[in-house]
Amino acid sequence: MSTNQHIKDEHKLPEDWEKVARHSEPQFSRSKDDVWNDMVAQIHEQPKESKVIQLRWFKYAAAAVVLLLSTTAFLRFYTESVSIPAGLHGSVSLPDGSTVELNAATELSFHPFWWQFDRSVKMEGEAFFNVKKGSSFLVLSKNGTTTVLGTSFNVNSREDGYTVFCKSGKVSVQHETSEVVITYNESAQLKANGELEKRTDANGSEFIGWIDNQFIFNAKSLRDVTREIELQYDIDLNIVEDDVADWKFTGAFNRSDDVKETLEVISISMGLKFEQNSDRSYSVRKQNH
Amino acid sequence: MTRQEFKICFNQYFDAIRRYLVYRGADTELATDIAQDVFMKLWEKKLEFEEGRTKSLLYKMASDAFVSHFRKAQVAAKYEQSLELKVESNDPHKQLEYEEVHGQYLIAMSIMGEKQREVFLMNRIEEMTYREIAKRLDLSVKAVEKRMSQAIGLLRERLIKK
Repeated sequence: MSTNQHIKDEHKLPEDWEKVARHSEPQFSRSKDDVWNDMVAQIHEQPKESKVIQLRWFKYAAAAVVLLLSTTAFLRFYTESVSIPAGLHGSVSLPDGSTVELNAATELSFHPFWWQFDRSVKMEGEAFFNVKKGSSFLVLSKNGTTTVLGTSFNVNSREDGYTVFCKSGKVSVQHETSEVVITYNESAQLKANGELEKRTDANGSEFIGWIDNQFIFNAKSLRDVTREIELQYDIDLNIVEDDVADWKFTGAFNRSDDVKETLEVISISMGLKFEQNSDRSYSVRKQNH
Repeated sequence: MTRQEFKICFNQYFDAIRRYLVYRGADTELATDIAQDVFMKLWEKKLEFEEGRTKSLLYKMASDAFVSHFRKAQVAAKYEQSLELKVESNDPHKQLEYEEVHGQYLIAMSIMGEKQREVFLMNRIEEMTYREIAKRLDLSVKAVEKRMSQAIGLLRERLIKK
C-alpha cells in the first residue's frame, strides 16, 4: 500500500478492495500482436490497391495518348506519291485544288491529310505548279526550295541542275543560303558556284512549253537536248563524239512527233546523222564519218 | 512519423488506449476495434511523432471515436465488462473473500458513472497520477480529485452494505 504514491490517502480503500481493484483487468480476445499484424496487412494492402487504380487510370490515359499520337502521326506523315516514268507525262491535283503537271521521269510526294497545316511537296524532276492562293506553298527538291503564296511556276530539279520559272505571281527560290525572288516571266537558275541567278529575258515557252509537248531550246548544249529526248521518249541516245555534246542547239521538238522524226529534224539542223542500234537505243554522230 | 516510430508508438500506447476505451464503457471487442481504427488513422495522418503530443492525440482520438460510435448506434454505453481478477491466494478462505469482493467491485463499476469510472480505473489499473489523468482527459486536477472522491464514495457505500 505504501508504494501507491499515485493514490491520494483520502481515496484509499481497505486492503482487500485495493488489491482486487488493482488486479482486475479487462481481458481481450485479440492480443496486441494480432492487432498489429492485422494493421500491417492493411497498411500493405492500401498502397497496393491505389497502385492498381493508378495503373488502370494510367493505362487508359496511355492508350488515349498512344491513339492520339498514332492518329496524328498517321495524318501527319501519310504520304501520297506520284512517280512518272520516262516517256510519260502526268498531272496531279492537290487537296486545295492546286494542280501540278509532271514531266517525264519525275517524282512528287505530299501529305494530303496535313495539307491544311503545311502546303509542301517534295519533287525531283520537273513539274509545273498552278497554286491556289493561300498559305505559303513549298516545293522541296534536293537542289533547292521554292516558296510561293499562290501562283503558277515551273520547277526543274534534275541531276545537279535547278531552274525555276515563274509564269504568274511571285516566287521565292532558295538553294542553301542563296535566295532570289522572281516574278512574271522571270527565272532562277542554279549556277555551278552554288548561287542562284535571276534571268529576266526568259522566254516562257522555253521553260513550260513541255506542258503542251513543246520542247524549245535556246542555245542549249546537245548534252542537255539529248538528255531531254531520252526522258521524253524513254530511249538511250548516245553521242558518239565527245565534242559534239557541247555544240549549242537552238530549236524545238514536239513530243507528239515520232522519235525518229525528232531525231531527224535535230540531226539535220546540226549536221549530224542518227542511227538506231536496237529497239530503244539510238546514237548520233557527225555526218562525215 | 516513420514506420519504426509508429511501431514504437503502437507498442507503447496500444494497451493503455484499448483499456481506456473499456473504462469508458466499450466492450472488449469494440475497444479493440476502436483502438485499431485510432492507430490506423494516426498512421494515415502521417504526423510528426512527438511523444507527449502524440499520446494526447491518441486519447483524444480514442475518446472521440468512442463517443461517435455510441452516437451512431444511438444507445448509451452500458458498462457490463468483467474485469478479470488476477489475485490468487494460497489460503482458500482468503481466495473466496477476494472473489466476493470482486463481485461487489464489478457491480460497483457498472453502477458508477462513466466519468468517475474512467478516472478511478486509470488511477488504479494504469497507475496514472491525478495530474496525468487530468492531462489525458483534458480536465483540471481538481475535477479529477472530485471524480475520484465520488468513485471512492460509491465503493465505500457498497463496502458498508456488505
